[in-house]
Amino acid sequence: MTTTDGTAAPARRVGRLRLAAVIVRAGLRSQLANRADFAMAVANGVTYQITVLLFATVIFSRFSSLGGWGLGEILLISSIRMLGHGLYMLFFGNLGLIPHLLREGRFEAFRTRPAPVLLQVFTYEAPINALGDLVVAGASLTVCLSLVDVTWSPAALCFLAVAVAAATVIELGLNLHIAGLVLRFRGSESLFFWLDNTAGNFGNYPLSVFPAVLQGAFTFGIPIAFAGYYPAAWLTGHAGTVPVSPVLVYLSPLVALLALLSGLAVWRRCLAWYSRNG
Amino acid sequence: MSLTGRFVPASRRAGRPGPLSWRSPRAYRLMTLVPRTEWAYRPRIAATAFVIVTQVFLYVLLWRALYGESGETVAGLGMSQAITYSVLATLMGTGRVIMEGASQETAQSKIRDGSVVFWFVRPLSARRYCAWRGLGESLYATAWLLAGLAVGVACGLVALPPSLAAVAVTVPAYGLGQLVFYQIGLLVDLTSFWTITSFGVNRLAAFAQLLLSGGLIPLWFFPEGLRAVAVHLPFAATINVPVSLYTGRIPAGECWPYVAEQALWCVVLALLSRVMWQRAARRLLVLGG
Repeated sequence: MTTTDGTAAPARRVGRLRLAAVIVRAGLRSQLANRADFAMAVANGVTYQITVLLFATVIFSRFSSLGGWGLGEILLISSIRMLGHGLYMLFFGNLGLIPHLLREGRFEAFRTRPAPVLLQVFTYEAPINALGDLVVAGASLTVCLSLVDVTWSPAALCFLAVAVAAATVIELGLNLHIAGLVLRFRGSESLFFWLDNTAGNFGNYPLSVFPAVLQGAFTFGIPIAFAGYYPAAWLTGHAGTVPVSPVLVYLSPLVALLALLSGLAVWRRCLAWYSRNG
Repeated sequence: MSLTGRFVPASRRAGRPGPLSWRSPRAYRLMTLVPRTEWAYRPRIAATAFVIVTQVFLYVLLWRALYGESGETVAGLGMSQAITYSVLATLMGTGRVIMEGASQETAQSKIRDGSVVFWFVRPLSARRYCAWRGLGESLYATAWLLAGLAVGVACGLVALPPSLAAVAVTVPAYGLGQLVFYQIGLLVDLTSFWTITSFGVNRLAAFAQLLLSGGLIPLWFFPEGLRAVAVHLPFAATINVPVSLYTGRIPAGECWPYVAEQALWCVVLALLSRVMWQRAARRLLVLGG
């Protein structure tokens, strides 16, 4: 951010982080007031991830040959995606609450306050269910590491960390598109469910088991394959079997950046439309 | 308004005022509450159609790809049966999850803004009010199902039932499944009277419903131990039983234990929800009196 004296920018950034921390703490206290719902929210994160794992396990146990990938390798795809999802839920998961904020009129208050609207959305509620998401994702990764035959060199570990970060940003970018659509077209919130469901149930398998149309859709349309499959293909030595080009296994960070920029552009455009017509 | 353990006069308890008949304009208006709300937000209808169509398309491609690699029949389901099961389960499950709470006439949202009190001062009991609204929601979901079924059959995605007997048992099983659907949703919603917010409970129940009903994966594909438990839970009564009857995975001649179990769940959940309504009403206190 450009400033006149060159020192205000860092101060403002710290200010916003502090603001976010204060709001999150308040949200956490508010949620702890309803203990039963708090416990349910944590359990909800666990259940969601178990649902995803169970889906993958059932598919694998009933249909043993999945494009030449073993159970541990497939678990690596879902672990990267689930960790990315857990981190997304932890930092940005409140995007899914926008329909609720709109219905209750709270979103209008966000627009009048001297703080970025997105920051207020992200900090509206303490993301309790992300704890459950991350616990199961961590457990899944632990099991997966004991099953896959991968040498975890520093380069491989860095690649894994970048892949998880990219999965988080890809999910954020895609959800920003939907959040923008929800502002523009009231009632379209079921798209959040759709994205969650599609990524959760179809983002955990090698693309090679799907027909070409889905391979294209998950690579160039809704790039959920970059949030698990492509990085896992490099880590497990399947880079040569990926569709289109082996180069794709390295492109997760770039795709994440594009998804984020595109998502932010859609969000800003739709927020501007909402400010004029909302 | 607050929720406490204080006693509330009988006039504010659930279930006291008289019933409505089918021909009553009020009953009609309550039944059309959900469809009218959906119509008011037309992008919602478009989004629901988009979600259902793409989900059906994805599952069909997934099962075709998986069956293409293995044999003819897996866990007693052939490819055609698995695809038919998956399409119908998506139509029944995904549609309901999406439209759940569409009208915002839920205890959770009403408790949050305090307007839950109106449920208890109308000339119609809160229990019946919700039941009529739920019936409308169920009929609306059935309209989506029938439209999807017609398109699915026309496109060759959904196979027709193996016999007329299968149709004859599927219809009442579907009706019982819808009753169980409504009762589960109601029980979850009523927990708001104790927890104030029930986002967590709602989400948990939605996932349990989707997974254990067969809405995501046919229950027949579950590991044996999990399937043995899941088929006896109320969730299975909502989707697995009617869809399995439709596809012939449960032969029509062997349907009675499954249908009897559905009916049993209807009775048990109805009794439970009746008790919860009474207790919920006692927790309601308006302006201290």
